[in-house]
Amino acid sequence: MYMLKRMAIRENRQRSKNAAALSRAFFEIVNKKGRNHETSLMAKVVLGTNPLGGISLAPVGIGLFTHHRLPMFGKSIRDIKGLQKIVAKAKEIGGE
Amino acid sequence: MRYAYYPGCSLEATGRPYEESVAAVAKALGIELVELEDWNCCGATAYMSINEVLSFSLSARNLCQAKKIGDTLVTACSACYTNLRKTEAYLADFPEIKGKVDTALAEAGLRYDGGVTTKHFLQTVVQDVGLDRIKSLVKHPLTGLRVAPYYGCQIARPYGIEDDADNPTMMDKLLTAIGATPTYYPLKTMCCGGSLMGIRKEVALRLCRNLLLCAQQYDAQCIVVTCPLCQMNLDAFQSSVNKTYGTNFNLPILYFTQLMGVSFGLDSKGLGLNDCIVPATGVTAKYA
Repeated sequence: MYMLKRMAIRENRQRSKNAAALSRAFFEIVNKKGRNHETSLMAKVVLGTNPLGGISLAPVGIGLFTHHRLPMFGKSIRDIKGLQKIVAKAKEIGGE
Repeated sequence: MRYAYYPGCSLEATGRPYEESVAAVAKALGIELVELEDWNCCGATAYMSINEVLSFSLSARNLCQAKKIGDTLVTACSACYTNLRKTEAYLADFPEIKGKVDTALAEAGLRYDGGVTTKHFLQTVVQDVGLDRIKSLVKHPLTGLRVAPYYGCQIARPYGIEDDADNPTMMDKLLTAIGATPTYYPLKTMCCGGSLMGIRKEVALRLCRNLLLCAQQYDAQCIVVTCPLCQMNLDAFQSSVNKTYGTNFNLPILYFTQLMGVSFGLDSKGLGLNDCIVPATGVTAKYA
């Protein structure tokens, strides 16, 4: 199943653009900081796929934020350069 | 008891009440959780969608960090648990994949040669601590509290906790040990929609509606979960379910650690009970 998904994303033939957008946004955040930052992920996916539809998500976001469950800033790992080297090599030799 | 501990990214954000209650309960049980040094994201399902070796390499880096602490790695997040367990299994069973992961890890001066077993915190509590010890710590038995035990997909299969994949009972037994009544919950291992909530909301809302409806039909007063994503979908999006389907659900979605903490008489603030979107105090206050 994952192999089909990977092929679809690589060849830009995915049926759901949103699913690919989520994977790509997640990848960008983790590759930059080493950890996912859920607030940034939600913002990137909504703004990148359906900005107007994102308005309907506002109450959920506000609810999580006011309960201290959506921090403004994410954390970065110390050895991000080491992780980025691992990621680059894994992508280079990974195949499917 | 001392374990390497992997929090995972969600427990720093939407799953923060889980992190707090895990820490509080671990302390009460005499479990020392030693957080991995400089841990990274497990990759969730997104990395597996882009590149398999890349996904395994991320988890393998965490397994390297765990090895410095001990031979058992504990995590409370079901998605992280699945990724770490899957990585363990693939590195052990597929030399070609292990060779590629070794090559990638070497870029950062790391190497993983096995020897770490990943456990979900539910396993640690039930299997390692044991139900007798848990019963001995209960100060406020949750007598009369009817709870739907929802395990979700990821700790049930395919690299599940040591339990029945279709009808796990580990959490049911735990709930009984703290005095609560686990209800019949036939959807206990069905999916909540996971990350579909962000990309195919209508599908995820329907799945959440089914889970909430099933709990309500069996007179559950709350649903108890083991996964931060399941908790967020059922809790934060419960009002969206109500709006979409014209329902009137008002079911608190609690982590099993939060209910354990209540039964142990721990402070509710330290269990994150005030940070549930659907207020939990209605079902927990009488036991505090």
